[in-house]
Amino acid sequence: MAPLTDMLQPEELQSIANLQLMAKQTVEGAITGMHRSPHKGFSVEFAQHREYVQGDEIRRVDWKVFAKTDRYFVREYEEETNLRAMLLVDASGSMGYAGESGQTKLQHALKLAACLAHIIMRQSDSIGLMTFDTDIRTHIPPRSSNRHLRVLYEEMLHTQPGGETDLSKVFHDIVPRLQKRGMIFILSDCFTDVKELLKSLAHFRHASHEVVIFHVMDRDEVEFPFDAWTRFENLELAGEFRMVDPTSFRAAYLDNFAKFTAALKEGCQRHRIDLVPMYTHESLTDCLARFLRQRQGVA
Amino acid sequence: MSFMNLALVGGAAAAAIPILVHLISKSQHREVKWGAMHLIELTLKSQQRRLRFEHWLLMLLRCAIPILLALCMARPILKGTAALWSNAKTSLLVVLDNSYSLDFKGAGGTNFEKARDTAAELVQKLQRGSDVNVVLMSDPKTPLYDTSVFNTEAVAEELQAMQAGFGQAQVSTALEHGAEQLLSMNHPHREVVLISDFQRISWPTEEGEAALRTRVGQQLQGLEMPPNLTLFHVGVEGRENVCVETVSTSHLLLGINQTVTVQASLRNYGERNHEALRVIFHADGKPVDEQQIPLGAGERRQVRFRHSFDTPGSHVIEVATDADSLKADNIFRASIPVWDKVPVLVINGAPDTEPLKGETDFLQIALQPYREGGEPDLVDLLESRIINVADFNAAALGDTRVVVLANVSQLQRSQLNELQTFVKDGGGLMIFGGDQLDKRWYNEQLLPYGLLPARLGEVADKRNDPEPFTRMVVQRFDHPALKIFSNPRNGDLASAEVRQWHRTVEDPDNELVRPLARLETGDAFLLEKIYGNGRVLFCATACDDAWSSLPLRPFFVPFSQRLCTYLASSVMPSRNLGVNEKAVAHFPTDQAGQEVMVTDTENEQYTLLIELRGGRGVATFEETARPGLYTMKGPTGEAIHFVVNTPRSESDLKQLTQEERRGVAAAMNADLVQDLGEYRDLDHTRRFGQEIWKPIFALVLFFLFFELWLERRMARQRVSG
Repeated sequence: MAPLTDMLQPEELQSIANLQLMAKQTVEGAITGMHRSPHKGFSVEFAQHREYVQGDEIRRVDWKVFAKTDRYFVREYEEETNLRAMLLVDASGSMGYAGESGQTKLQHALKLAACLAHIIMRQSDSIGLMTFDTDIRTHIPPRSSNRHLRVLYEEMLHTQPGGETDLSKVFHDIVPRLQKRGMIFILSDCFTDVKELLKSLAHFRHASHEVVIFHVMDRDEVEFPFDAWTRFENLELAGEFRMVDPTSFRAAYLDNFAKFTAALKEGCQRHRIDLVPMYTHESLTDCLARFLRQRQGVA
Repeated sequence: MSFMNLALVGGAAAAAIPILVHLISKSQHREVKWGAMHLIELTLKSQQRRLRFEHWLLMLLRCAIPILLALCMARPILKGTAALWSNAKTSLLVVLDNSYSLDFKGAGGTNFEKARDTAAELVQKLQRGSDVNVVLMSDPKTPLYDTSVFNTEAVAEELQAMQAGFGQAQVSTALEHGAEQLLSMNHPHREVVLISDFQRISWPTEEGEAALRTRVGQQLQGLEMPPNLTLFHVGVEGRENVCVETVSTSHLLLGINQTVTVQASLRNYGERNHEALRVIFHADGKPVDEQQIPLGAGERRQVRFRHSFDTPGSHVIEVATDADSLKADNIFRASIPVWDKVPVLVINGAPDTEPLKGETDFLQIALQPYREGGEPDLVDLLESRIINVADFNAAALGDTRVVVLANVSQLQRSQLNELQTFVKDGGGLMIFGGDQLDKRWYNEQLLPYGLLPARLGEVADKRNDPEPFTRMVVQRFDHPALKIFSNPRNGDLASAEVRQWHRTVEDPDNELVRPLARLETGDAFLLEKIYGNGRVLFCATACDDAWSSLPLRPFFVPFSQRLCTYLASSVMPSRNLGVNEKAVAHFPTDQAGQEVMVTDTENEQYTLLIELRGGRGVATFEETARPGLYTMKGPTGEAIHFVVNTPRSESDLKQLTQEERRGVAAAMNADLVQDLGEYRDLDHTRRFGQEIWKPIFALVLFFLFFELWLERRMARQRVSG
């Protein structure tokens, strides 16, 4: 098993230990922990036996054990979450950009995904993972066991950026695969056509999923700090490049970037999607804190 | 276009630096693997044309800046050929205004001191090997040096020692003579600098004068090696000046003890009123009278003095005032000869032994009234001698001042030659008509000899007419011989009845002939002709009573006396001269070859030889450039005084305005400067052409700022929409 410490620094683990994830919406199933659920339900995962005490339901007595031991034992099961969370991590080539920090946007996104998985598992909710570029690369359905968490970590550790992006197509493909409604965490730079992207996100919302987008950005993409002639090579399409004199280009680029983020923000607000800006030079703690503050404000 | 530092033009190659920097920086580009390519594509798509334009503009600016900077450092000159003269030796002709108006003293010295110092500095600053000459505007015909000189130091010293007060400026003449001097100067690069106070009177703006100056300017430009003409204005305009304008005397010839009335005219050109202006009269250097007169600003006033001389010979009178610092026109002198006798030779063409029947009987009485009237105590000024035609020869002429031909039929050829020489040398000839005149001889001999003012026509005869006579037309006479008859108290010329007279055919185009009086018929009565240094008067009627009652009238005495004294006065060359007029004195022929001594205004003495010319001894002194008194002493010790007065036209010190000076300079194709600094700039421009590095440098600065602004704009610009 790949421990969380392989991906997170100890201080980051400590920081996130006390973070509470608050679900904004009422989810299916019974309230467990701090979550509320409109449905009765129970877990099927066996945890342990314990002696019967007065008040326990008769139907929960394990009669096989009574036959063997002539004592009454009650079967106890692992608590099963009613929150089904799905991490959708963009592993396209553009997520492979690494600025001054030397850390790619994908690495930063996976760390956050790990944190989220850790938090959700601590709350005994189920969490799944999907990585994609133009298509779905991996799909790990949500579960809530520790073993499952290990599987997620393993997958995260082996995810590498590459390929082109077609977020809207992928998201349209993903929606039918999510059989139950739940919470969708999208970690992506969203570098695609904003209109198409918003349409696909609307698709999620039609399927009653709650969507949170962690908009992963590098400071270079935000500030465009280049000052000499620069050959920008496309991370998603090998061989494609543009020679640009950034000094005269910067203003127009920043203007287009601002328009892009504004359009994304406006679209997300319209579809009641949480858009959390996330910068690779920021600590994960700050990012999560910002996210949770944002959610508490909305709830 | 040419360059003072041609090598630095190579610096324009620095224009390649921005291109190289561009290419190098492009080749040494940074490589970035980039995710947000769609944003780059989007930006390029929307901004590519603008960015490309701005990049090209920026590149052009950056290339232009080193090119322009290199041009600046190379010091480009617009007038390409001028660079050839940059180190050339110069032929400088200074036309210096030394007229007496420049003697006006303003702050910091007289205007002339400024002018001459300016000229001296110009000369001193000449390149070694340059040559120079100086033409003085008051005496333009005589340059300071016969040929241009190379010793500029000596010229500068001579200029600095110069003084003003030398007559009137003759601008056009000075430039014309300057042009002649230029022809013999040595270097192809030629400068003519005219230094003047631009006094309005010397620089009239009237059309004729302006055209003349323009023509002279064109003449200079038309020379094979045309000079640069610069008009240099010096000095300040005088606001105060009183001058003695004229001095005139009542007598043409003054005899001993005759009282002469001296009339002086004073004029105030200044702006100050004089309540009691002191006017002093000197005779022979001694103050003899003084008057105080009021003279307001712009006013003119007459002053009269009376005086007589008790000795014959040359005398000098002087009217002076001490009103202002411009001394040259505060004094007016006049040389007055006082005569003991004036010899008149009368040639009688119709002698008669019967009293008053001879042709010259009345005339002799008129010329010597005291002697003929038996007045032993009174002396006639004129001393007449009557001879017959046959007795006329060179010996008979002697020291005669006036010859009278009275009804003379004709002369022998030798006699005619003697008479022609006599008049040409300044003698006076009076011709009276009469019945004896051989009209053919007069028209064919005397007229071609130049001694007859007009061709003779028929003799007019009024005796058979209802009114058997005609009269002279009395008018205001301006001629000095008849001037006194403008006043009827001195005699009524119209009272004479003229019955017969010679008609004359006048030539209106002949400027040497003028009628002094006419008859009522319109025919000329008295004609004057200037011939050589002498004068001829022709009276259309006879001097006896056969043709008119002229000799019977009381005015005949003064009439005859005035005509003869007028003619005699022209015999003696004028002793009242203008600046640079020659002083000429006549001496007896037996003194020819002997020396005369001349003392000038500075008490410098010159020795001259008496030359035999035209049957008389003649001494000529030419150094009369300075106004004042010149004294010539002949072999017998007799003093002859010549006075040189400045022309009073320069007393009005008003100058042309700056605008007018500019107009004059433009018309003459000249440049106008006010000081040496301005001249040096002008000279520099002429030598090196018009330097244009300053505007280019301004362009460089503009490009630098524009480049900076454009770069910032490109970096900060927000795309609208």
